[in-house]
Amino acid sequence: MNAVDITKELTANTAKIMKGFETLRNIKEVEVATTPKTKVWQSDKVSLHRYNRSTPATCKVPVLIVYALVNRHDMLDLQPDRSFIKNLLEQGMDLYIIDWGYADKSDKYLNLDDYINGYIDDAVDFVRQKSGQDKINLMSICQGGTFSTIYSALHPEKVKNLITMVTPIDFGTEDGLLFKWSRDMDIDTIVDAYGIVPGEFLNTGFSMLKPMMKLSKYQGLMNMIDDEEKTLNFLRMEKWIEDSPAQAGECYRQFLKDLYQGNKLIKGTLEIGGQKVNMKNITMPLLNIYATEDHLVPPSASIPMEKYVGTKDKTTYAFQGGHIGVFVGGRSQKELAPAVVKWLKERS
Amino acid sequence: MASTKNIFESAVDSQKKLFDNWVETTQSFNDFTKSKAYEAAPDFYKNWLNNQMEFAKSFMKNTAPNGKSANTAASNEHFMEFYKELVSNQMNFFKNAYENMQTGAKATDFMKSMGMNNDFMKNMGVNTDFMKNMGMGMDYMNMFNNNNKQFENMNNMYNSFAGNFNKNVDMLSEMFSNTLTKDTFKNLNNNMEAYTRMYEMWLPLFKSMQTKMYDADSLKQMANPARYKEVMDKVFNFNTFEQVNEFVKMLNSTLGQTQEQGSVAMNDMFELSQKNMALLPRIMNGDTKAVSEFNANIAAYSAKFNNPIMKMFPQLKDMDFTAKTTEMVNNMNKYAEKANQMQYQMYVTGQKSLEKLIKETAELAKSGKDVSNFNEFYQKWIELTEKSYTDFFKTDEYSKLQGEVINMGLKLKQQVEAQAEQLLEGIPVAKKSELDELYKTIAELKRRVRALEKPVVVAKTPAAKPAAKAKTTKKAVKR
Repeated sequence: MNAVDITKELTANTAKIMKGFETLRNIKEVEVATTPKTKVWQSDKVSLHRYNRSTPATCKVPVLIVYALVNRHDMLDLQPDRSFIKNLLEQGMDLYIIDWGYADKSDKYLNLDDYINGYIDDAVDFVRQKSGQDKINLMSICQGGTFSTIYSALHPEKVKNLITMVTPIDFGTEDGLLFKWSRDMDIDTIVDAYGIVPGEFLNTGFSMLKPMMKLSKYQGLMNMIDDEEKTLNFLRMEKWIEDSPAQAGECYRQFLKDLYQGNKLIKGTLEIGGQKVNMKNITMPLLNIYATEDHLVPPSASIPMEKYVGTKDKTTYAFQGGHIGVFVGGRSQKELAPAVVKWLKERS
Repeated sequence: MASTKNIFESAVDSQKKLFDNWVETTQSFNDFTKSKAYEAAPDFYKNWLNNQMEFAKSFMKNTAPNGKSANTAASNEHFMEFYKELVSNQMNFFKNAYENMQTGAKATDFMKSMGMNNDFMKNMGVNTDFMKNMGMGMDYMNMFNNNNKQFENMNNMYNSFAGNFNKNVDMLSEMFSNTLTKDTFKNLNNNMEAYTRMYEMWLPLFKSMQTKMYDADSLKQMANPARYKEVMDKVFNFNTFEQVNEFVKMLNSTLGQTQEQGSVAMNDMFELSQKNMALLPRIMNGDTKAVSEFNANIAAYSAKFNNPIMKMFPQLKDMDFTAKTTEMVNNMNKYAEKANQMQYQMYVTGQKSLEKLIKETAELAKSGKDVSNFNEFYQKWIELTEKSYTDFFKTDEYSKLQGEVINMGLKLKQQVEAQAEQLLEGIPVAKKSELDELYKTIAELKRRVRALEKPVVVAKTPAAKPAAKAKTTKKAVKR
């Protein structure tokens, strides 16, 4: 190690930054969720979209995708060559997706009943009516999975098959920092102070789960900055991360207090719209997918679902990867999407 | 393309002139023209020059001739300004770096002339104390110090270069039309700064290990805590001196405006700002008591300072308002103390991971393993720091502290908003609490409408047949 080596090292970094400038400046637009779809229904800020198909679906029962309120559903269709949505479409699925929109201050009083018995139920009825099917398939992700689980327990007559992906059900787990931290938070103060809980507040918490991630990923970017395609993929992920809608206050309050702090769902004491939620009413086939390296929703929060549901046709699927890898990883394309389609086709 | 081509050519020409002059100057150091350092430096610079030219050409090829649009012309000018400054900075840097190399080469030459090459030193098991005792210590120590100084000089030069470069980065950032790519570029640069800071910290440690100093405690002493704090500030975006300074500037600016009203309170306010400015160095050293004093000074003044404003808003004469304002400032004080506690814990946790890394690296070096790769050191640092923080975040202590900080901060937010609402009492604007009532009413009405609409929609839907009984088992049900 001598002065020449040091000079080379330090100025090589400068050259990389300049290369970064050139590559980034050449990128005018960063597009995500490019698979074509059509808006078919809207209620307030919530809309329902149907993915366009060029050929008829081979599975007659349509699938309604219910994503979380946190972050955007664009993750399922982040880049054209690794799109979970595109993969399902190519395998013959008729797909609908709920777009929750962006909550503002006027939405602060929306609660779990509004989202579950309101928007989700309205979307389900629309799809039922459009498809002529009494029951439809529900595919749900993360918090959307918790919502769909509650919905299926309250309206089993409308759900043909239920798929939950990286979904928290047992919030009493000691794994997972979010579960621990939520127990020491004064949720009422958070909601009363904010009204609608900002996406930035949630993102700060998520980023603290892996505090050195930002440094690590930008170090990785430095090493691939001369590859425009790889840089574009990086930017797509960044775009998704930053696109974090605010959460309606009352819904956030209920979700955190009744579920994260009270764990009422598996205790059987959760009430939505005056009705008790009994997971034994989930009598339709269930496919529960969890990610083995999930730091946001640890396996111990997802796996227990099979203990509480009423259905005998239940499958718990372990996906090797993380919370996001379930949708964007290469293995997801080759392994998970085909497994989901196969499972659905056998039961639709 | 006439105007841009001229600018480009003149920039390249000036570079070539500088390069030619520099090569001429360095060639005059005939003693070392055949040394590795000399041979490497010019080639390395030639490569850099070629890269710079290619970069500039590729930038220029997409710009319009004679400035088709104002933006293009402006961005060309912007870029050339930056480019000239970058070239000039890098030329100075290389020139100084080369001169420094000569010092290092001289030191190496001395050792060679004494027959003290790396193998000799290794075989002798020579350390600095031994050399001192042998009476050769001073020369060796001078060499060692020169090399350390050389590293220090390199770092100082690079910092100076990087400082100028960063200003140019801000300028370059304005040339992005896309916010995402702009933010990514800034983050890239921030990352490089953190990387460089860690590099600076690693260099003297590595050098010491090369001289067989493996004592972890001594090595830890060499790690510059101020530098490391800068890294932590970058990683976690902690409050910096600049942010505190901005707050004080804002305070002074507010004072300036109020002074126009000829309030006697202004003198007290300036006195306050001077007292608080004097506290800033202690605050930046993490002195939480200084933070308390800072806010207590503001609290002590607030009652008096309210006087001129009270004349504008009658409701401010209400002692309750004044009492609430004072309470708010006291709460700000408590919040700042708690937030500082959390920030302090973060610094301490980060420091522990660095010390662990130094210890592990020293042990590797002692066992004869090659520790010269900084990238490996950096990756290891990231891994250890991640684990350190994750372990700390899992503790009840952190969870409670975080909960308290969030709670106090948000309660303060509520107080500020309540005070703002009271101020707006006599003014014809809709207040937050009034709008909240409206939103609540709208939400309730929407629920009622949905409840009324639902049976109508269901009744009209021909496909909505009564639900069939769900199968709960695959086996036949015995009756």
